[in-house]
Amino acid sequence: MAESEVITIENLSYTYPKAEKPAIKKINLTIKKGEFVTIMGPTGAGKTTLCYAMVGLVPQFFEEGKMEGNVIVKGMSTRKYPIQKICTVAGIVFQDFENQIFGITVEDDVSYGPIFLGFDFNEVQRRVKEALSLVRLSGYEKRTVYTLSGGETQRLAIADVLAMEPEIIILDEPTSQLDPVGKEEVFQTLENLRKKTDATVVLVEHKSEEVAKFSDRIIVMNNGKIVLEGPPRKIFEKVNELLKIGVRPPQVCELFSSLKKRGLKLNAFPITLEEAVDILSKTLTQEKIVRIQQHISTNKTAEKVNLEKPIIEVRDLWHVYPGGVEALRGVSFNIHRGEFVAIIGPNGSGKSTLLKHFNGLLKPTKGEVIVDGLNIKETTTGKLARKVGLVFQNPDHQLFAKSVREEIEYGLKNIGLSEDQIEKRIRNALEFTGLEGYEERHPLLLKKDERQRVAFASIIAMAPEIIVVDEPTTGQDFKGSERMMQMLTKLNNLGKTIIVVTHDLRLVAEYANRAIVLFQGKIVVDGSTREVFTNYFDAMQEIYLSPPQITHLARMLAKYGIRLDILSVKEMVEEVIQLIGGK
Amino acid sequence: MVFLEYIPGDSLFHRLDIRSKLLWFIAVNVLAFLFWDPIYVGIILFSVILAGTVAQVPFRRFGTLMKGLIIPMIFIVGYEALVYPGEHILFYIIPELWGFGPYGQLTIEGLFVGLTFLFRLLIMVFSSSIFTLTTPLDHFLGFLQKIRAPYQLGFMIAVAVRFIPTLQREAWMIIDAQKARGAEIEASKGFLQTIKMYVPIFLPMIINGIRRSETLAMAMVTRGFGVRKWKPLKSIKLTKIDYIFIPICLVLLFIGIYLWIKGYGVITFWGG
Repeated sequence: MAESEVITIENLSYTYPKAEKPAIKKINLTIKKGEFVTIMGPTGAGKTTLCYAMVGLVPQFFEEGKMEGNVIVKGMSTRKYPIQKICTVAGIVFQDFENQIFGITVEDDVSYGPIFLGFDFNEVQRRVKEALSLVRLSGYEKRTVYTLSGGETQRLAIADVLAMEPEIIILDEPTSQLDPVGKEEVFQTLENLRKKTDATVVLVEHKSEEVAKFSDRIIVMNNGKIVLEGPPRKIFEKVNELLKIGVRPPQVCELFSSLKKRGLKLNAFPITLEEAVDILSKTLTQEKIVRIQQHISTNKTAEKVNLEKPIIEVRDLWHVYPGGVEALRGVSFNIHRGEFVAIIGPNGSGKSTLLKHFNGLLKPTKGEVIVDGLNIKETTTGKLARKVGLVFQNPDHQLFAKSVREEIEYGLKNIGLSEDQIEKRIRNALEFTGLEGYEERHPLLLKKDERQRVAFASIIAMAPEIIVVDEPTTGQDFKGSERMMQMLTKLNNLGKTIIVVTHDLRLVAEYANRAIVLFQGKIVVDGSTREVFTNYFDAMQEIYLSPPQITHLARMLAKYGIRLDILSVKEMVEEVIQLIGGK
Repeated sequence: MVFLEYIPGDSLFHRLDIRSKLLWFIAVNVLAFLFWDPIYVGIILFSVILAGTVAQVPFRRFGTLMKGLIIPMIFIVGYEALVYPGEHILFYIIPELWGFGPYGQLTIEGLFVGLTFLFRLLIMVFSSSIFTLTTPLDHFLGFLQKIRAPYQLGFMIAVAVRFIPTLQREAWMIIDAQKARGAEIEASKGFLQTIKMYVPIFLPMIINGIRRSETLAMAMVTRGFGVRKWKPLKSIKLTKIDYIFIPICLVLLFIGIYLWIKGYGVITFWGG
């Protein structure tokens, strides 16, 4: 083994106990000291298993699994050395950020590791102090852990590992469960680690736009194998291949790949926003610009004047929690039948509180909410459940039955349908969500994205007019997110009213026709998605809502005649082609 | 939650060692159970409330707890007043009518016994709250270590306490999710129906608990759990105030016991 190699993986295959197929197959990989390696790939590709193998959890934690090949971490074979020894050189941050925290206060939690390792009081104190400072949590020592935000909790989890002072830090999707502010905090922490330590970092991450900025090397996995490997530029060039695997490259890469296909000659390929601006601004000034005048497109799907009575009316809604927190402070809006509305805003802006009023889980402190003619103050949630289907973020908070059929049946029985109707509804819901043949499967043995679909099916089976979805894509990969959004679009086309709460503004831009922005319990903007993303671009950035990369690009190229109100890669391709008169 | 919660502060009670507070807690409760005269027990209750003020315990927080206890408390006083075989009858619940009755004599002695029970209940609630609200978990763990309890026990308690708020939050999320599917959780039905109603809430909690424990276990081994015996970061230590406080407690306890032996504090009625 060469001096600079800190992890060597030879021919590694692993099958979990009781599993039929191996989770990873014939993996060969070496990681050098100081490298920043990012692992990408769809759900179920084997990314987490590979992470576990690097710290010895695979094979040691799971008894009776089958491992072939070898993993050597700093000269230690993970077959021979105990995990508690390996963890002093390679630490891991888990995806499930909440349950890896086991201290009551921040200080407790960070000190556990060094105490377990047997360091004396002063050394423990020094390590706690240093670790907290690296993740910018100094001053939080005495805080109880459950009062921390998602981003803070995840940073604490990173500090826990740093306090072990390992040479290698492995992070398994540290941002996928976080809101945009939390994501930003974690990425800044990673940046800080890069600058201030010489740690080797292995990161599993879906957010390609961030990955492009600071990875030395990207590894793409699919079906348990490494399928692509190389520096970000080499990897992100392969746009079509990545999309086929289920990895979404940065939007600028998608743009350039499409432009090339349309015959445009571009002398370089960008992977970051800055590079794209640089290349395109040169191209745009060189080429003869066909159309100088800037035109703001008139919104083709301009709102028809809606004379019909709104299906949801919210009038001066206030909600104050016991304890005095004012979650909503005078919110008013109408939603009409058939709209596709996105409600966006940072955590703590009141989105969840608002959602829970639609089906009466919460009642207004002041003001009124009328759903399809019913005042929610006077209607039970049981009754409203027929009109409003609310799908929560985590399917594991609702699945309890022995079979998928029973799971879907539960709601239908609650609203008192007949046997025949129930049978028909179950069949339709399964067909719609692509779960035919799953009737007798046990929901808890399904994969996460399948469980999500079962939860979704159990709601739409109740045939609500209004479907409200809280974070439909959190923790899902690109294909799962697309599928979810397409199902919602299909329901929308059938005339259902769709309301989604999401942090993923790329999806909002592509799917929703209206966006309502909440901030500190008030509506700050309400309008068509295009209007909101264009006219309130800066205001949104101020509250940490970052419109998609492609909208950023349009804005930075505005002085060359690019339209400001671009929402998707497709629109940008057309705009550039038109502007420089390509074929 | 009033119990198990620690409110940071700098009062006398916050600075006392857990062992001093434990002694105080035992002394107060032993004395409350020795005496039967509500005046004696009332004095102890007053001292506990005084201690609570010193310890900066927010008495407002007991509001909800008290609301739930009001009916049982009235019941205790009323019941004792009725059944205690006292001599000084205040009045009868069912007076003498047409040679029938009287029934349900309410005696002064009975009322006193009822009050004593009430005071004891309040002493228990307040003293235990003062104890827990001013004692951080570290001190409990330090105490366990001092009495040489196995280290896993302390660690287990610490982890369990850490997850209480998480589980509470999760329970609410699950209840919301099932309500959104038309479940009528509050509606009261028969016993079996009630159990059936809660299955969709308990099952996800148990299953999530299992998932949670797996991550937790992995997080623990990857942070070196099991390499050495775990001991709390801070060990507990008696300080100057403890050396003053403990003798005072002991003296008061012995005075109380002496008075009890001498026959003070039994139910008397000085009216004659």
